[in-house]
Amino acid sequence: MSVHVGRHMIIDTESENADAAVASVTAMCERLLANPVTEDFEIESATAA
Amino acid sequence: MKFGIVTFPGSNCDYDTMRGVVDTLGEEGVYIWHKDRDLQGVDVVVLPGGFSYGDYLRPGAIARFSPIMNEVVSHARRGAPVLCICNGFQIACEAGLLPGALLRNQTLQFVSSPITMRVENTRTIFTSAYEPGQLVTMPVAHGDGRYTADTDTLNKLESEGRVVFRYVDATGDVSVSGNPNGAANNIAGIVNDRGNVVGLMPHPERAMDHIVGSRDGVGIFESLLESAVSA
Repeated sequence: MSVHVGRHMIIDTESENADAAVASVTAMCERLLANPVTEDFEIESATAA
Repeated sequence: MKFGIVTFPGSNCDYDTMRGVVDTLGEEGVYIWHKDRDLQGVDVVVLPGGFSYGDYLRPGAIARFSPIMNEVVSHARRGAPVLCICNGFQIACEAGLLPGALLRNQTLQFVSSPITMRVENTRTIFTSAYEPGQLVTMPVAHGDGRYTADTDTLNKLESEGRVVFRYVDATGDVSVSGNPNGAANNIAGIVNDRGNVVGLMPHPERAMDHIVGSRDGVGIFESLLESAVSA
């Protein structure tokens, strides 16, 4: 059995396109939202209708 | 010697540190507000214990963006001393001043207790006043004190003598029972590669007077004073 505990964050950005949104959220994760020493992060992007 | 004690919102050991610096050592101390951008010409910066920004997100994660931290990083890059205690250690790791990170205690319980640690390296400006292998008692008070780093970093810290303080049990043995938080290799405190930034989870500033049960913390400050004399 394995248990995974993590955070799920929903971040709305006003970006030119999905790539730009992912780039900006990646920077947020690397600098603040995750500690790369102890945490991993994954980003899924969805474009608002 | 002039000590600058940084106060973040949620710091709670800044006054203890000031009392130790001024009353016990008879040295000069100034509080530096985290939004300041001037270290006021201090010789030593202290990042004190507490719960900066309420430990939101991770301990130290937000404090490292406080405006004063740019100055603290510059101070460290000049080779000047930075003493990082408890939450200050967590902030220093988040800011990249020290390697590794502090995780939630292995028991998931907050631990508040006097602990014993062994001085592993007395050839630093923070520990020269101790005897090699000296056992010292200081309180710990933290929920996130389990030091961790990748294997390469741990090996490097060990081989370079940069594990400065190690948790031991009452008999002086490095054991599981002497480790209050599950820290890798019983690590209580480390120093950076240049030797001018130290971080430790135990509280030397709360062990500077017989009335609180221990004066073992004084040695860190006396070491800094010695280093200034010999410099």
